[in-house]
This record gives sequence, C-alpha cells and structure tokens, in this order.
Amino acid sequence: MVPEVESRLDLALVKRVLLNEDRQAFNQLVRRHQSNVRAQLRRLCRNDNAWADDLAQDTFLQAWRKLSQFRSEARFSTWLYRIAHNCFLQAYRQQPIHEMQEETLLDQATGPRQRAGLQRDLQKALQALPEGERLVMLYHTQMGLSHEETADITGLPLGTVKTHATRGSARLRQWLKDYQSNENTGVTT
Amino acid sequence: MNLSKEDQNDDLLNQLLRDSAADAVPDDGFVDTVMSRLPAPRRHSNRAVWLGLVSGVGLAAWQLQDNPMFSHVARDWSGGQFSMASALVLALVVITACCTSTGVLTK
Repeated sequence: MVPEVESRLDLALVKRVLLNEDRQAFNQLVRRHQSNVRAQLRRLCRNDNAWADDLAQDTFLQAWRKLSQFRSEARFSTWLYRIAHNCFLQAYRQQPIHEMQEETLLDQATGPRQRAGLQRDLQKALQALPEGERLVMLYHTQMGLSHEETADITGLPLGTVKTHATRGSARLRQWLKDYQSNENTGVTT
Repeated sequence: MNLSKEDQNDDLLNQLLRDSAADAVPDDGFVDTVMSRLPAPRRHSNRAVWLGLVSGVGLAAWQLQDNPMFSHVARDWSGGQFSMASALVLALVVITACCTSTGVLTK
C-alpha cells in the first residue's frame, strides 16, 4: 500500500481510539505495526528476541496511554518507533549486562569470520559500528526512514544523522571490500 | 552501461541491508498479549453522570420546595393525580437537574 494511504488509515484508526477508546481500532494499529516495531527492537537488542518482545509490548502499552499526545505532523509509525527507541534506551541503561554483549560482538566481528554467509557477517559488522552510526544505519538505510525521521526518533541533530549515515556507509563499504578481497585471495576464515 | 566495481558494491550493500530489514516478524499471539495488558475500560465517566444527575435532582427539589406550585403538585401526586401543573413542575425539575449536573461535571 502507498505510504500516504497507510498514514491516512493509521490516522483514522487513531481518531477512533481517541473518540471512544475503541479497542478494535487499537487492535488493528498493533496488528499493522507489530512486525516493524518488533524487528526494530530485535536489532536494537542485538537479536535478544525475548527482551525485544517485552519492550515491544511496553511500547504499545505506552502508545495506548500517550495516544492523545500524538500529533499528526509525523507519521504514526515514526511516532511508534520513537517510543520503542526510548523504551530500549531506558531498559538498556538499567541493564549493564548488555554492554558486555556489545563487546563480545565487536570481538567477533573483528576476529576471524565464520563462512556462514555474507548476510550474517554483515549483521556482525553492523553491530560492530559505533553506536550512533549503527542507529542511523538501522533507521535510515535498513528501515528506509528519512534523515529527518531518523533524527526525530533518535533525538540526534539532523547534521549528526547525516554525518553518521555517511560514515557508517563508508565503513560498511570498506568492510565489504575487505570481505571480498579475503574471499578472492582464499583467506581461510 | 557497465557499473563500476564500487557502484556494484554499493548496490549489493544496500540490497543486503534492506533484505535484512525486510523479514516480517510473525504475530505468534503478540497482538493478543498486548490487548490483554491494556488497562480496563474507564467507567468513571458514567458514574459521574449519574452522580451529577442525582445531585441535580436533589438540588432542584431543595430549591423548589418553598414554591407554592411545588407543594400543590406534591399534594396532587400524593392523591394519585397527575395534572398539567405536575407535568410542568416535573419538566422544570428535570431541566434544573440537568443544568445543575452539567455545572457539577464541568467544574
């Protein structure tokens, strides 16, 4: 469906929820966005799916409570992603154990690669990017959001988002180049 | 037109990144879980309306008790009669009750 039509449909559902606490309309909103929000959180949580799904539930519960604060200048999906992003940040700060996982992943990405496919290795390379670049690559490049929407969700200045996008892309391009040259020279992985 | 190696790599990279984001997450009962965790529907608004109406009727009756027409109607009702004056007073009480309860609710 065309994004503009999607947005209008979201808006109509939001109005129904606000008008008379229409749970059926909210059910449709959750159904329409659960996949993207959960995928977003799974990437933020570095594929800890159970943790990501807990955060996704909290995201939708917060959306229910704060729905009257939704301003239709932004897309409903962008508004949801911002809530999910904040839920993640809040939980992440309370769980220092996840910082250790980040270091482990960084080691894996810079260490010897397993020959399990380019896609999987790319995911590791993505996880190894500096935090700001990783977030911008997630929202802008992977999820296809604009620079402005990415800035809105992450709370980063627009200029910083653009810089992170450029640097993140350059790093991944270099990573791919190295990957291919290693493949061509037959480096054992 | 031949694409340079770098352009091909850019395309490949973008494709890989988008592909990795395209995986749909199946519902698997997620929506039902969220819906079951929503807070119970609010009912206090109905209670407030009824409370307002009852207070309104009470206040209206209290305000009209010294009115001769009101005592006349009270006598009619106790005698089992329902005159035009009774209907008028009843309408007056309902209107006063509604106005009072609206005032109570909006304060």
